[in-house]
Amino acid sequence: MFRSLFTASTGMYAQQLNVDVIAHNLANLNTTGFKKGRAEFQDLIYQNIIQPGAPSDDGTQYPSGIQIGLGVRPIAVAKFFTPGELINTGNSLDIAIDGDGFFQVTMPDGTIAYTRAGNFRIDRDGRIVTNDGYPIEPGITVPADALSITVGADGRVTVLQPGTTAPVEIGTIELARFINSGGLKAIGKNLFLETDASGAPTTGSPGTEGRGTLVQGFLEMSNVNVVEELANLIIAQRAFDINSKAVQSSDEMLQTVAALKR
Amino acid sequence: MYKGIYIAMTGMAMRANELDTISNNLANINTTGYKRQSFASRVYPLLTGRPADTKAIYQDARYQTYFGTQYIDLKQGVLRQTGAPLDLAIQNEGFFAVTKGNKTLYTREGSFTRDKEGYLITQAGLKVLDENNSPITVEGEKVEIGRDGSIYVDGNLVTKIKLVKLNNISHVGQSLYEGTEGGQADAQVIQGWIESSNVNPVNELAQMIQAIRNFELAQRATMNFDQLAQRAVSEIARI
Repeated sequence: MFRSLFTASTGMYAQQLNVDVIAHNLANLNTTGFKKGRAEFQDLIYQNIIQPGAPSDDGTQYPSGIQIGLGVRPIAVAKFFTPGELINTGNSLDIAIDGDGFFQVTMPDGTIAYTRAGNFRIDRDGRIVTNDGYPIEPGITVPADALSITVGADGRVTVLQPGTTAPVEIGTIELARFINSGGLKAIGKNLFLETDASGAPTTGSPGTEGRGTLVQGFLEMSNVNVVEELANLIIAQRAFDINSKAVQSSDEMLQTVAALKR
Repeated sequence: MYKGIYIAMTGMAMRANELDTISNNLANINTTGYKRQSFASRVYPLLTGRPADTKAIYQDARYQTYFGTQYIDLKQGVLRQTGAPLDLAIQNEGFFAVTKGNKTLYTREGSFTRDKEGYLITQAGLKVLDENNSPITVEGEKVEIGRDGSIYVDGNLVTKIKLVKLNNISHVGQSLYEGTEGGQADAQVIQGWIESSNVNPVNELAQMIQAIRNFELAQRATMNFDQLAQRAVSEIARI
């Protein structure tokens, strides 16, 4: 049957996926530490009806031949780890990363997950945890009588205790950095897992080996740009529309064929 | 029988091919770096060819089924800003070179990324080549890419990305092209941008309408031959 029917349907499928990705970005417009995705497409295979360079019946060569493409396929939803805006919250356990790197948290099953969302809390045992209650790795416990907590740009966490004037160091927040952070696997809850594509992380103090520094009292917002997403949404919707026209046209042609036989 | 019925049918088959090509362009309207396929009908050999030899006309008419020349329209696509440091758009002619197996293929899809070893790769995982045809590694924090394709990592010049002109170009799918290299391209690399496809919906829709209407015309012609044949059978026979 007509290839165009199926070719156009690959186009519709691709644009639908595009809208899915854009909708996810927009839904997370206000999610701390969210990193936007972008659907990437490639053209599918080609049917070579005449190979370029094949000899013609006049003895010359066809300079371009005839190749009929069979549509499009999604190849990746690339994640973009460009920085989001920092907003001032004044909360001493809101920490943003200025530069590359991820906070490490221990999940209930013991695996380490990575996140850019630095909105930490203190649980009843005094541990610094994420909003889901996952403790930060390496674990830091804040003494019950701490008056104030200070996080330095280099990750050192110090507290002031009653009766003393000198701050006491209680631990260091370490960051992890990946050579290909785009290869991380998102698992929801603002968390990412290491994969074979991302490579193993290099961990250490903030500000060393290319890792970013910490900024206390700030949160990193999502890096989604509304204007850009809306423009992409319009393009995706229109592209979907136009591809449906190609399906309609193929249908019309088929009707015409059917009308051949009286 | 009537040769014309075959000629009319070749017209229909050709319009169907045209619609296939238009559909592929439309399906790739949002594919980074895609270059549209363009086509043109070939001059009817029936009018230009060998009028004395009826047999030749018949054969040529059958050839019409396949022909329409087709070429890749290398017009510049619209550039779109993304801000991602490894998104590269080519302005003007030329292609990036990537390696697939032991073959070198070419692409305009400049939405690159890095693998865990630090190689600069396409979204499909193919390594991007530099001027000396070796894969590029970018390990470091800050990657800056100049207009001429020079790659600076943390301020140091690492290498220069390969940009080539291509002759005898053909699509191989997956946003890749084949062709013979024709030297350094007169092109500029723009970092933080990607090149959208160069498919123009207005153009494609107009061609789509034309293809359908021409298809219908050819169908009418075919039906007329059918009617002619029917008269020959039923009416002339009655006399």
